[in-house]
Amino acid sequence: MSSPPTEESAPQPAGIVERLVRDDLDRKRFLKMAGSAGAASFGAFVMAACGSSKKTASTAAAPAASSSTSSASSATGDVAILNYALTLEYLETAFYEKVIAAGFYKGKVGSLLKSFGQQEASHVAALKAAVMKLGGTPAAQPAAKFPIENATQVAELAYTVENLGASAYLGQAGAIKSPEVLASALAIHSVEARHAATLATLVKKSITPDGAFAKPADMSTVLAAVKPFLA
Amino acid sequence: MTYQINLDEVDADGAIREAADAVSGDTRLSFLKKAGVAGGAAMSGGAVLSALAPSAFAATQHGRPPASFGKGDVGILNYALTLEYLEAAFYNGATAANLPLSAQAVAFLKIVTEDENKHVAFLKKALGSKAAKSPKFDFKGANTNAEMFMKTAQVLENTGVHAYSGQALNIKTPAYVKAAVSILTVEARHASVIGLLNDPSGKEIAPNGPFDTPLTASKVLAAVKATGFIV
Repeated sequence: MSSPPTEESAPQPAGIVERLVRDDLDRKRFLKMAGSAGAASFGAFVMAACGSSKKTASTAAAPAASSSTSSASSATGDVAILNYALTLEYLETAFYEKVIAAGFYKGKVGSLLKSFGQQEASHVAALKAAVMKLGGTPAAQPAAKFPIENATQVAELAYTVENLGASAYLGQAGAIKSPEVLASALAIHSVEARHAATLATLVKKSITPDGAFAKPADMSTVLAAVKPFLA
Repeated sequence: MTYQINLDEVDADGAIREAADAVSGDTRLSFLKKAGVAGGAAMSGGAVLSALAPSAFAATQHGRPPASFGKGDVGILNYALTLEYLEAAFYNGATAANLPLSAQAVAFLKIVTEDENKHVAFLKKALGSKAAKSPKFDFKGANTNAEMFMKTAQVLENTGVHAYSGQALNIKTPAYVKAAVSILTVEARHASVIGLLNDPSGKEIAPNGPFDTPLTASKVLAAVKATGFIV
């Protein structure tokens, strides 16, 4: 973790973004399948975002300094929401890296946690690219610390972190202006919910802790909750 | 990447087809075969829910539900309500059948039955006098056989996730966007847990990888039609 992860260094499983970027056939199939202006522009958005970040990876990889030299939009609106999401995804990615390194879980659960971590890394890459696509500066990766001392604690914390992520995205859904950004956020959001619910089975908690309607969490609540994890 | 419900997917051993055949004879069987096996042709040929007007496929510009569901947000909510009717009826039937399920699957069934019925109630209330009536369902044994129940539940829940994410961008009223995303979260939680129960390797937790793929209404309706569950 000596340097911020770049598009190149972030592990990317064969998820939709990678497939869309790398595979012409898949891209055509996706656009055909999506068929709608909304979904098609989501695909185009993701592709454009990833494409532009690839071309400029050498410069874009520079950490976002405190000085905001880019457009004024970087501090407000959708860019701010994307950077907020990016920060949470950085923390989640760091969490899974530390968990895997600690080696409390092997076998099926271990590989499950590893795949969740890889998916979070894909979210990081997508969100960074999206921020740049909107002309903003991606938030810097925060230094993270997690109390990882035993397996039970790890599972409980994973459950907490993923639930927080899911409710954080939900909390922003009404505030996002751009349809493309909303589409991206939703595509990520439901995966966070998937992680949270399956981790719930591991720690024997409710898979739907809010019942039939998931509750959103606002930015200040979420940031207060993650504060202990910032080193 | 193409994702649709078809009989080959939910009916690995042909039990649905056999049941349908026994009930309705050859006509039913050949219809189901056409819908399931030749799913692609059925979709482009304008197969829609029998509850809907045949003009359904005209209204796919933004992947919206067909006009027969109603205009604007009413149409989208009625589309969601129809999918929730289907899920609720499926789970109510499964609950009544007292299936020989694992303890985890019993817990899952209890939660999803409660949640889907609440989603129905919420959408009906939101729509008031404009609420669509419930279609009639015939699950052809898919919710009275433990193995088929598990497989079908996974397909239905994932379809729910992709249906909601496909419409979130089309909704105009902010309160309904929030409600839809809140329900989407819960569907994603259900989908991941049944995915894990069916495949302990965890591959089905997030079948699209790090980003859930939205589906247009026409794709979803074609997939639902292909099951033959709506009579």
